[in-house]
Amino acid sequence: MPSVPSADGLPRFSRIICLNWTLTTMKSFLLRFGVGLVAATFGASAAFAQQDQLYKTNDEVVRGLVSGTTPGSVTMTVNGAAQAPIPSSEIKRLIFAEEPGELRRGRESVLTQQYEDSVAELAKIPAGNYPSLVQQDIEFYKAYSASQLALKGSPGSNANDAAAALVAFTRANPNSWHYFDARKAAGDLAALTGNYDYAASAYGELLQAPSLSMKVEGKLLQSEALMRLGKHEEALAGYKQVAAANANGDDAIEKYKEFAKVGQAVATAHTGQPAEAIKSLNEIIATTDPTRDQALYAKIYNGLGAAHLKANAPKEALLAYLHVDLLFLQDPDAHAEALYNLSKLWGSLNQSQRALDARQTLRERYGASAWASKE
Amino acid sequence: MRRLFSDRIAGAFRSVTALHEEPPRATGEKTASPTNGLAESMIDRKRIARFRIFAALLVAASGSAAVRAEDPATTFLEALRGRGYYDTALDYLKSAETSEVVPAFFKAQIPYERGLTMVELAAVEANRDLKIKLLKEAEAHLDEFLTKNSASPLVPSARKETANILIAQARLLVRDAKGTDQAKLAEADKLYAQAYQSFQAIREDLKKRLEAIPKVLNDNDRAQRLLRETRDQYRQTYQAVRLLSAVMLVEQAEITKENKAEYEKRMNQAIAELGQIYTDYRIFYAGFQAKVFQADAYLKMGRYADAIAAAKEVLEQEDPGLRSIKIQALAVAAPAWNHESIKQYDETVNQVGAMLDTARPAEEREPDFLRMKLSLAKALKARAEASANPTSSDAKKDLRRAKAMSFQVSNVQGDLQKEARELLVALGGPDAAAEEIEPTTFVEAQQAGRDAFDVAQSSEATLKTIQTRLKEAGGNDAELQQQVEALTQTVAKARGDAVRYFRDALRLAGPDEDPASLGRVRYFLTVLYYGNDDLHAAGVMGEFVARRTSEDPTAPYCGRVALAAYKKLFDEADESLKDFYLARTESVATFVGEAFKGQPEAAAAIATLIPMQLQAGKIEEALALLQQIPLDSPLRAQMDLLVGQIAWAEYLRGGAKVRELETAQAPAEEIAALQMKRDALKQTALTTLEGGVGRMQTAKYGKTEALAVIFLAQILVGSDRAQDAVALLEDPEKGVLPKLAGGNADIEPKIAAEAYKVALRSYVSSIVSGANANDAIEKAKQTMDALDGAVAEKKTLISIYISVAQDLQKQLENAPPNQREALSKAFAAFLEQVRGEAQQLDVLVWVAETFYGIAQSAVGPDGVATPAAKGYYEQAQGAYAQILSMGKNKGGDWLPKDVERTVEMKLAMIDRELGDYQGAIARFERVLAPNNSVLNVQTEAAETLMKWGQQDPQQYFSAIMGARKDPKTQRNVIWGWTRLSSVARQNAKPENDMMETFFLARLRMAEALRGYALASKDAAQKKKHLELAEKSIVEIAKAMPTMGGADWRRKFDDVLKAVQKDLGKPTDGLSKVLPPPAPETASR
Repeated sequence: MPSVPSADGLPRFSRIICLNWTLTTMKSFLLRFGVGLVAATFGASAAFAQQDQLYKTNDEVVRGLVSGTTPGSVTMTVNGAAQAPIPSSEIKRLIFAEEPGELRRGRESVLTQQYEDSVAELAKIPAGNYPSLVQQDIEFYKAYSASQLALKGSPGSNANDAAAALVAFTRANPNSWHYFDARKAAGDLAALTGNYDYAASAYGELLQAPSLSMKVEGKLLQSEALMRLGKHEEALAGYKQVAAANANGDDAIEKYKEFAKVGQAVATAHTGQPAEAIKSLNEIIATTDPTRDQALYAKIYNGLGAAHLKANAPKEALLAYLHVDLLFLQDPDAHAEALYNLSKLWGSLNQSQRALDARQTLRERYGASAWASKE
Repeated sequence: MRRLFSDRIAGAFRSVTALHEEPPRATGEKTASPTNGLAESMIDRKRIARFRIFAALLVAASGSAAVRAEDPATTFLEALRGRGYYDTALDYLKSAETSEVVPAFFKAQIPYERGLTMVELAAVEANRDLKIKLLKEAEAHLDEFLTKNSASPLVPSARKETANILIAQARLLVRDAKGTDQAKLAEADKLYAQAYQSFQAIREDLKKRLEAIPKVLNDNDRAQRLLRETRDQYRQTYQAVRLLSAVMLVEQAEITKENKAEYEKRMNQAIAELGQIYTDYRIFYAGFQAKVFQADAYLKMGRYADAIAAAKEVLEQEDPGLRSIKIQALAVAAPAWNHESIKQYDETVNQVGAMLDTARPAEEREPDFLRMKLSLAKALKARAEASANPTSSDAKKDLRRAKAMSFQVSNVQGDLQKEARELLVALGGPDAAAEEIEPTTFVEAQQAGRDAFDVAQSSEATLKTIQTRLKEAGGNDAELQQQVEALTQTVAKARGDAVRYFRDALRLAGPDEDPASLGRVRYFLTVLYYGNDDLHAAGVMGEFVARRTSEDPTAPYCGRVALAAYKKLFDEADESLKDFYLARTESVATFVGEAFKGQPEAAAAIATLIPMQLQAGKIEEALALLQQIPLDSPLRAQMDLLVGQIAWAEYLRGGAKVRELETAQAPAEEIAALQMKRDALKQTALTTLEGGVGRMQTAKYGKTEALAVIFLAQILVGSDRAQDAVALLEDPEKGVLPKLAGGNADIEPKIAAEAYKVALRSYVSSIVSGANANDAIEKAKQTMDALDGAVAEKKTLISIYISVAQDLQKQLENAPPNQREALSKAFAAFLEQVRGEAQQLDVLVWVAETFYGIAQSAVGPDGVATPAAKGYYEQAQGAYAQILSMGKNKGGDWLPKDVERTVEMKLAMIDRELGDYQGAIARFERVLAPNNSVLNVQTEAAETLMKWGQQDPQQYFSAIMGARKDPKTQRNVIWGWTRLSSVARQNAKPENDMMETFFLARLRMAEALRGYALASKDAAQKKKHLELAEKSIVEIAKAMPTMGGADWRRKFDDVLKAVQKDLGKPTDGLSKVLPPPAPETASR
């Protein structure tokens, strides 16, 4: 399952708007509001320090108190007045007044994708009776960091533990503004370990996200999972939807559409038209700059490999997968897929040593991937 | 010395050919450190690949602004060649000719790329004829490119490759001529001349091309950037061509040595050209390379002073990055200093001595170092002989060291060995008793220790050789015996001296002593203590160096020696000391593993810990340690195999444990947990064995290697990777089958049988995954023949075949439904063929059993035989019938009685599955007639009557009460469920499974009563039999409230509820009779 990168290359923490207001968040608000009143008795700078700070993607900063969250938004109360909910897609970071320094540093590490650092920093957070929103953030960033390390195949990471932590988080915090990010990460982990049913279901939840970009991403990833499940017709329909989406200048959606076109071609191969798929993929190759997006190119060549296999052309399939192994190996899942197929193809072409080499690389580099355990 | 020069030339050609050219630099245009050759070469490859695209764009696009995104053909091709996939690269080039996505410019350069690929392939091809063929084909492709693409910027590179082909061909001729075949030498000479002319022409062409490019280019302009790339490439090619042509002249001169004038003319020309290259590129690596070649040429000509002067220019460089080229320069300079016309022995002794002192262990036996050692030995000998007082201690020291040096060289195979041995003889042979000295300074003591150590090492090597010869001579050669004794004394004395001198050195060391020198002394002491079996001292000293001076280069090795010493002490210690040495071993191993991560010693330390962890049953810990051993370490493969084999053995043992738990009706979660553990073990075994087998050294192939391959094949075939298993088993290098065919004595018959078993299974299974069916069948048959040869006892052989059949059935059952049919068909086709030709009972039994297994796996989920299952049952029937028929025909003991009865029973079971109940019962009767107390046959017979009952309700009664009365005894031959339950109950013991038979019989009785009742048209009869059925279950529940466990209870409960429903009663099952069952834990 390729993890489709976000347009800015950073993980997303901002997407959804949902307006249900639960008892839990009300309690939290009252507690927080009480803290805010006490803080208001101090001087201006102290009051600043005692306020939550929400940094928007346009660099605007909103200082006040977080008075409510939904899976798609955060509501801030500024000077006692509740503001309009801020869509999570517009939030860069949210810092709580009472949060420990380790959480702040851990969060920053997550934002810069330094997950080893974030894990180490978050682990240092002393036990304490933090407000529930802060506690939520701690749990989320811990689970999210662990998930990203597992997805990278970092030594010591464990995909199952990370998935369990994410699931526990979303169950306990259905109104967290991190909800959809947690579901997507859970889907990614499920895909990594070959649990495509679960992945399809988790990605399917992203279709409830208010952000169009996340909806499109969800559909694309769900289609990928359906492909892995062998539900090619359903996947094809999903890809078509994504390919037809109106990007409205959104770079991320444009990218998803490109992936979807590739997916569409591969699904076509699986539904009995490999020649047509090969033609489409070759056209995509002819119109896509190979230096622009390695992951996309990896997907194209893996798709080409699959289509050639369907067309019973093992040598051509081998060359396609070798493109990924030799040139476009940055995307772990795509590389693992290529290595898996290469190990099979080399074997069928009586190159047992190369087959063993490919399998060995697969096991060593991507041991946690479903490709490594696939027979 | 001939080798020295030609090696260098070959090296130069290799490096230049392989990397294409030197970095793009002309005088004064420094772009990178001139000494970082490796990094430069890596940059080169990328630059060249990029250049090809640019170059082609220049021709193809000719100013077109839009660059169309296309297949990254050039980079891909480079990558294929870089990995040594030359065959695939050639395939790719073929497919590229007609590809729609490959850019047009690339298509135009395909002949060039093909030629280049073949030249690279020829360089690694060992077969002489193939090499020649490849070179010829490469030449043709390059010619084609040059003819069709005269305007391409790649033309100079293509022409250079063509010239390289000429040199490669010339070199082959020189080798064939062996110095005597003048015709071949003349032909080679012509080829060299042609190559030289080509190089000159390329140079002229490049000059013109370079002149045509403006000196100042703006990188912001795309067209100018492309031009700059082209210019850089031309400059690289130009530099490479100059060096190649000059070095080639030296090589060419060698073949005209008889003609002095011609020889000198060519050599002088080469010297002049190399000198000019040095002048032009003096600040770059290529310049220094040219200088060393020049020094070597001078040496060759006997111009020793010039050789020294040239070498000195390199030796005087202070850049540490030039170490490798300085070693080459020193290897050239030393013979010149030693020459009688020069006699600068001190230079050789000092400079070579200093270089040897810094030698890394891996370098000691490299050709340049051996040359230097031999030169040093000659210099020391000459200096001692030239000394005013040849009996002085200095002169003696020189001679002793000369002996040590020549002795070391004499022990290494190669072209210097003979010369070194002659020198050693001239020096009086290895030292038996070196003169003792009393060192007064640290340096003296250290040197004396080193000399003694060298003597010990050299003598030890010779001792081993002579001991081998003595052994070969049956131990009866008196002269060899004497030599062994003398050398043994020499080794012991030298080792003792070395220890004493090194201890003196430590005693004499001042507070400001050089830490590196001190480290070296401690290192030697550690090694000597270990060699002298003074293990405790070796452990203490080695640990001291490793822990206290971990920065010292010898620290890792000392740590390793300490570890080996402690381990040995642990193995030898009595119980009171075992704990102490175990703790020391673990502590040192952990330290070395962590402190020297990435070094071979760390790997060795970890490898010491792994068996200890495995011994303690800690596979996960062993696995974690395994990951710390680098993949390229030879120990990694050994440890992979060890961990993999233990994990697989544990997995298999776990299978038995699971069955045990299932039989004991252990909680589902316990079984699930064990199963999970087993899955993890299987994965561990697969990963580690794949890694280990991939990396294992096959020079010594024994039990460990064979078992690793067998285990891995077992895992692969059990994971639907039969073709991988076949490839592995047949692998000429690693596979166990070629080793067995070659008569490997280290593989025991039991292991051989396992190998054939897994091979047989793999061949059969491979058919479905696309292997050629005929080939697989043929190989399977050969395997069966081999198995017959390996296992003498017939019953063992039959049980082996049956176990293979069971494995195949398990494989079928576990196969995804969409593959099962194909797999079944493949097995069946294979079996039919085997059956047609088989004459052996064991093979036929296997065929029949496998058919039967396939049929069973094709039975539908409702238990009804599908048409496919029926077909397979019929095939099984045919095979079993064939066994009976052959048994009759062959007579004797070909078909043992017990096997015959089993076959009959199987036939009866097949009759039943095919619906021929009458026939089935008749067969059961025949089987049971001689001895009817076989419970499993009785059970099958009763089950047959139950099935028959569905068609003829009267048979339900027979199922309960028995059938086929024996006219003599007037008792039923087939017992039926009533008697079966009674016999089973009476004979039940904790160690047998009779109670299972008992409960089955009771359950079936109730089912038979219900079946009979439901078929009855008389309501009263119906009610009566239903009540009997109800009663029979209630009775058993009351008498045995545990009901044989949860499974049986559920089954009885289901039947009871059905009966109650039939009777119109509330369907409360056993709940009114028995307390509710304990809650079950959910299984995973």
